[in-house]
Amino acid sequence: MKKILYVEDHRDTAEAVKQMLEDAGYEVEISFCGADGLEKTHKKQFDLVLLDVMLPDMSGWDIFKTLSSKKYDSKYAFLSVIPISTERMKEFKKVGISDYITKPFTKKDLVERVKKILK
Amino acid sequence: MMEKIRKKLSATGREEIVGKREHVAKRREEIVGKREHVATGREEIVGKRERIKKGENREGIALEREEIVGKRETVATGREEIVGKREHVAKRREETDERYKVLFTFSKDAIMTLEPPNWKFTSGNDSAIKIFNVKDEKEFISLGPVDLSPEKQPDGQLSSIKAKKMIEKAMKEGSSFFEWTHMRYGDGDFPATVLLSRVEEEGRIYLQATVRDITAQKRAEKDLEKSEEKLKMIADNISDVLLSYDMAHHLVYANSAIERLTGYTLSEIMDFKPNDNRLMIYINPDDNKKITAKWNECISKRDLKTSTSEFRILTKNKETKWISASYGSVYDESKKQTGVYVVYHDITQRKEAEEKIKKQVEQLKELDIAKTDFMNIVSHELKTPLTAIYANLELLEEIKTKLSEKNINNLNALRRNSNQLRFLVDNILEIARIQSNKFELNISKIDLENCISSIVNDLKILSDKKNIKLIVEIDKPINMSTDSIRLTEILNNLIDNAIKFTEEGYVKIKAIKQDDSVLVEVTDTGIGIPEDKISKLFEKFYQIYTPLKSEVGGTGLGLAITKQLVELLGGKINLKSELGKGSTFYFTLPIRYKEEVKK
Repeated sequence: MKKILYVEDHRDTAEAVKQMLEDAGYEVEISFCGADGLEKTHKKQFDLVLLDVMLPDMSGWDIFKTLSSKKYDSKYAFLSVIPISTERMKEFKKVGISDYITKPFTKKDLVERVKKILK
Repeated sequence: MMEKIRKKLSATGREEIVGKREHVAKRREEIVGKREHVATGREEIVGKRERIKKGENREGIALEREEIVGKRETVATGREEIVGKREHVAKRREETDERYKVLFTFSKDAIMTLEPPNWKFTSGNDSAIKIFNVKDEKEFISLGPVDLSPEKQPDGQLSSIKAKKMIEKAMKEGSSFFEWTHMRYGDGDFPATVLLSRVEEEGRIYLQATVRDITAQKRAEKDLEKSEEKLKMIADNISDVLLSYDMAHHLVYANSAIERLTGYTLSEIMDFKPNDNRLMIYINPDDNKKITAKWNECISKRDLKTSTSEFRILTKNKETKWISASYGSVYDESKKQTGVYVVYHDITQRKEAEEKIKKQVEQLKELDIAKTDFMNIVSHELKTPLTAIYANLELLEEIKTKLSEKNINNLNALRRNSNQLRFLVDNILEIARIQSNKFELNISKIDLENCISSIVNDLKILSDKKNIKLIVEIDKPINMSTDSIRLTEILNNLIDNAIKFTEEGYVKIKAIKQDDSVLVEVTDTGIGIPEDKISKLFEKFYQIYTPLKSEVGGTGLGLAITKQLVELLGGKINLKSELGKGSTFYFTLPIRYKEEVKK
């Protein structure tokens, strides 16, 4: 079973996404802040780290930079309310970000995209 | 410089002449010494003869005679020797005389002798004849120095008085060397150098004069002076500062621009003794390190082409000025670095302008960041709960079948209002984004017919539901260069609205090409808009009351956004409507979007 870590400070969103992905057959852990998210990566190897952009203690971008600089072997995707341009997405792909999903999203869309990342 | 060289050259010439004279004097002394030696020998012989004549002691006499004979022989030998030596000395003298004669005759300098008491010339070489423009030596010796001089010397002294002084000096000190303005006989003046030397020969005392025409040299000097003056004038008139340093960082030259720049006088700058605190009188101490580092680079780097640095100076009035300095090496003939030249260019104005722009840009950036931040925060704060509502709603809808009809209605109400809220949030954020100028257009080439067709295809589900016909009328292919996403949004809003407010009939989309723009009309057979409301229709949050509202939905922002998008793309939007019969929304867009159109 593929393991997913979702770092999201909005609990209701985090819980709902967890449920959606678990329904789709993934093992999901959630963190409500960046520090806890990083802590969890020390203990467990996740196949995918889903990151909210704006977190109370740090940004999702900071978490990505920290983990990728430590060569933490995982896929990364952002879940954010802020839309980005296709040019920006190209830049993200270059540095190792697999996808950028704009909120709100449908369950179908989310699951399909996660499936694609972990294929 | 020239002056120095000239003096040095003349001095060398003089040394040579003095050296040769000493050599002749020494030879003379040698000859005199030998003569004395022969004289002593003679005196001895004469003494002995006298004693023999007096008849003193015969044996002694005989002995003495032998001695005398011996001595005679010695004297004879001595005599021979003396004669030999005399001949040698005479030969030497001849040689020396000959050499002197050659020197005298062929020297390019005018050489002459003049004798007291009236100090007329007593001889003159060919050059003297030539230089002074006299007929021959005979004519020359009828003249004196004053005859071959203008009335006055450049310093204003009468030539006769000054000549007398110079002669007196040479007579007293052995020689005198000076510059003199001579006069060609019956012709113009010329500058010369004169060396007067006192000569004592066989009781005669006279002066030998060597006159050198320095017209060419003076002209060269004058030319040099002129060109130096010209250069100095240029150097002093340019606004940039020119400085030249020796290898020990001593300032050796500065043009007058340095005074204008710093407010210090040249002597204040030159006389300033560098200390730990300040390298130069006008340097801003904060930039000492920078300048020292640059200096070290200048004297250590081989082949320093040009190197620049920017630093501040502090003027005498305590004003700070920015300088852009260029450095280069000064080399001597052997390519050895002998110094460094520096050019200062005042860049205060540029620096100030740069600072001002920098500040403005910073201010703008701050404002911009605040704007985007605010937009991002609002977007985040509004959309985050929406995300949670949507996600949880979706999860609930999965168990819809297990709910009672009443609960299903509750769930539908939740879904409807969530949609409404999301639509509203999206629209508000969109309009805020357009107004924040954060809006970036993505211009590409599009085919208008393709664009309309795909929108019509998407909206067909809605029109089919209401049994409304969707008609597209495009006379010919229209290729545009515009933002396809925004154009799609505009068309989508207008067509969607037309379908929403039409119950029966059709919605017609018509595109007409006009010169360099395109006219697009969206006509419906809907409820129409009262005339007095038409002007308010494009205002934000304006909605006409309609009994269909709850069903139709909308935020009152759709048309406001559409209008703004059309204007962003350089076009205009308007409508005509007849209540109960229908409306036509029409807009124009340039076929080719131009940046200046937006402004």
